[in-house]
Amino acid sequence: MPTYCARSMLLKHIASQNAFIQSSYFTSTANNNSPMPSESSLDTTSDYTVVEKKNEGEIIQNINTAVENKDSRLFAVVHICGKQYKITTEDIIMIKLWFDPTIGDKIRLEKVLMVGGKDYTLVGRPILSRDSVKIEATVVEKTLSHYRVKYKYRKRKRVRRFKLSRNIHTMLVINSIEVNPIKC
Amino acid sequence: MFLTFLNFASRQGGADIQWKRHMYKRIAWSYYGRKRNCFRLSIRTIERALRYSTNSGKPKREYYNNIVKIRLEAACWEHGVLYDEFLKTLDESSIQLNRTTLQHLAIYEPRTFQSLCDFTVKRQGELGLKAATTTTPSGVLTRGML
Repeated sequence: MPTYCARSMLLKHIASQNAFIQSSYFTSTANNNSPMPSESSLDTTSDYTVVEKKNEGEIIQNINTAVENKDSRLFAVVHICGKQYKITTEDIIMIKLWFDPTIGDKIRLEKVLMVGGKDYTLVGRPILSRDSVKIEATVVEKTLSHYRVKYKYRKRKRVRRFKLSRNIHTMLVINSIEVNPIKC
Repeated sequence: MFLTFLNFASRQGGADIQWKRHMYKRIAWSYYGRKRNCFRLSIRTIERALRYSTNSGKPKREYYNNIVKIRLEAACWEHGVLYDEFLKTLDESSIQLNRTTLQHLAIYEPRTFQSLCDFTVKRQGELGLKAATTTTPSGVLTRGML
């Protein structure tokens, strides 16, 4: 047996009323004889006129010519394992944290925050897209750090704790940084 | 003569005591005088040195962060921006370069840093953060309210 909910009945009542109101609103404004609305100056003229136009195209053209020339050495700011490194080609980075790839792996660095050359820089908000930048690196070495001492001592209480620890260091060699021209 | 009791009671027969002290001798190789050779004298200095090295992590980080802040502030002033406003506008426009990289850019990539500063200045003008410092246009009466 269907249950009649008071709320649903009320909503249906309101909806039907609204439909009636909407149809009446639209029919009252237009002429009953003509189907199309009449033209006015509000519709024909434009809303705005350009007073001063920015020269964005010029800047982008200059950047693209510099990118294609490939004259200058490129630098990039890269985010790896929570740290930011400023790198160029033939650089060796030391990552002092756990880094998955093993020795000999070729890597593409994804989180590029900034790329630049002599005459231009591309700043990502926050990251540059994969289409615009490509940075390749290889893992070269995986070693342990020097022994770091942790010595806790409390005077007159016979509390002495001596601990030696070593972190894993990975070395990356940056092979190449490639920038593609900007598309408008 | 009855010697078995003495044999059981003697402290000899275990490992050489110097094996435990070998590590401390390596730590104290560069110390001055008898602290270098005598364990009892060197252990006092070594323990202090190890204590200081463990407890210096936090002040060391604060020291270097302060240096970074000073450098960034000076670099921003060169281009006419305040340090707080510079970082705030970069954060608002979702440029997530941290302070160490920014100060590195300011030193080694001056053109890039200048362009970042100019961007922030222009952005502040758009948002109206500099409205309080700019002069009012002529022909406008504010009666000191703006």
